[in-house]
Amino acid sequence: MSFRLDVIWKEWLQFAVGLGNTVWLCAVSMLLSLLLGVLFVVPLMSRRRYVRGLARTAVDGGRCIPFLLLAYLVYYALPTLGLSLDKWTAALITLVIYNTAYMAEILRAAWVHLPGGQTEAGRAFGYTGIKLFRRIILPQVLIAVGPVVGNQLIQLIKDSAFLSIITLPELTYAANSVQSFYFVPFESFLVATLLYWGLCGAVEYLVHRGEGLAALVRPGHGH
Amino acid sequence: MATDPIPAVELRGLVKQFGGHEVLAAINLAVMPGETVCIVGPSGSGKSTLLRCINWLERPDRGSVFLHGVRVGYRRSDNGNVLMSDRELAILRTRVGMVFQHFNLWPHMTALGNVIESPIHVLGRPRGETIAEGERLLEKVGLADKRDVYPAFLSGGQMQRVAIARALAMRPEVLLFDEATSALDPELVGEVLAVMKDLAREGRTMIVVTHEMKFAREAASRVVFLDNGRIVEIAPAEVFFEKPASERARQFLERYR
Repeated sequence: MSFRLDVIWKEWLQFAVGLGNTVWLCAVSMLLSLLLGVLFVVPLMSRRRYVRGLARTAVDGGRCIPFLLLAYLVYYALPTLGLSLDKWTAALITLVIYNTAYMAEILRAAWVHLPGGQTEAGRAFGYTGIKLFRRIILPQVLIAVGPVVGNQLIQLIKDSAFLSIITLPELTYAANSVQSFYFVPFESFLVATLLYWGLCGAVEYLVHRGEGLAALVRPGHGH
Repeated sequence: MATDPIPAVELRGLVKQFGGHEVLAAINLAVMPGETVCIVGPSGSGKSTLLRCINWLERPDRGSVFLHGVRVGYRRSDNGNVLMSDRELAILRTRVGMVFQHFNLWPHMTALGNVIESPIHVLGRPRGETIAEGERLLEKVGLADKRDVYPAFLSGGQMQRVAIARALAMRPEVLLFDEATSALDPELVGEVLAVMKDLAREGRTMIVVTHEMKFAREAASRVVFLDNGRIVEIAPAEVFFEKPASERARQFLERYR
């Protein structure tokens, strides 16, 4: 058996476009999810039980549906209800819904584990409500979640491969179309795997770079 | 003191319970402007709870708290006293500076950031002059060179001094110290107490919960001895330490000799 790297080389543009689509879809949906997660975490931590219950139901609903099924629902099922989305919109919406549920839960966990004293100091100095959240709680939460968010981004990048099912030309889709056209499954999928590894490595690197920041909020650090 | 008949802080019949257990039982106390009152007593006697009731971080079950004659927690309305909203309470809290046992600095802000945060974002003071005042306060507590350092890179004593500067930046009417040196390594206690002594000497109104008897003896105008949620004794510092009136206070002081 010969190793057909020449085919891969000839089709490099398909891989590059696929990788590019994976990168921007994941990056944009991650940012949107983080923003939405911040909005969602407030009702998740509400003092009112029914508000908390409602938010909890929504978050668990998003977290406990298989990613592939969610993509099917958004792309194939919504049109039967009269809501047709092009595959790009469908892909982005699927990624954002799925990931927002995780982000909200990640932010909530970080908030719960925040040392209570800082928040109490905020109250003692006249902070309350949204301002307490925005100035005192949220910045600490965002710093603390860095590594976990990086981990979640890696999950998201891998899950996004399912989007090839709705014919979205991301990296896995590109690899699949090259291999089926030239019948080079090993070469094609190996290159895709290497590219995913590279991408996740880059995320890991960024998380590692951000660890100095996380040290600020880690109790007991310093001197 | 005698010219100002309105206490800076007054507690009347203050009661606080935790799960049926009475932590504070009918506390009456008036602290006059310029006084430094030290609250001492065994662990679990309710000292911290008393302090935290003053700015309603802990909500008293009965009794009332007054700041310069203004009742904390309740507002007069046509149909009697109604509970203050969170926002109204927050405004009252800005008049009280608080220093915590575990410093509770905001870790995402530098030393100066901690000091100027609330004056700017809660009180709405102009940024430029608040920064200038913040720098002065850091200098006052001996930390001008730590202006841009984050709390994670400060020692406990330095963190607590930043916390004191943060409280002062609010220009509070009263300063509350909740065991401000209890979490510090012994060799760092002195630098914090020195700052607190200076403040007392300046005539700031201070209520200090402490285990540092030497500090209480030197800095307090009066000492409150709390035991089992009750005030057993209130006396000028020299009287309390030389001739405590109660047997309970004598036993307590015995342990510090």
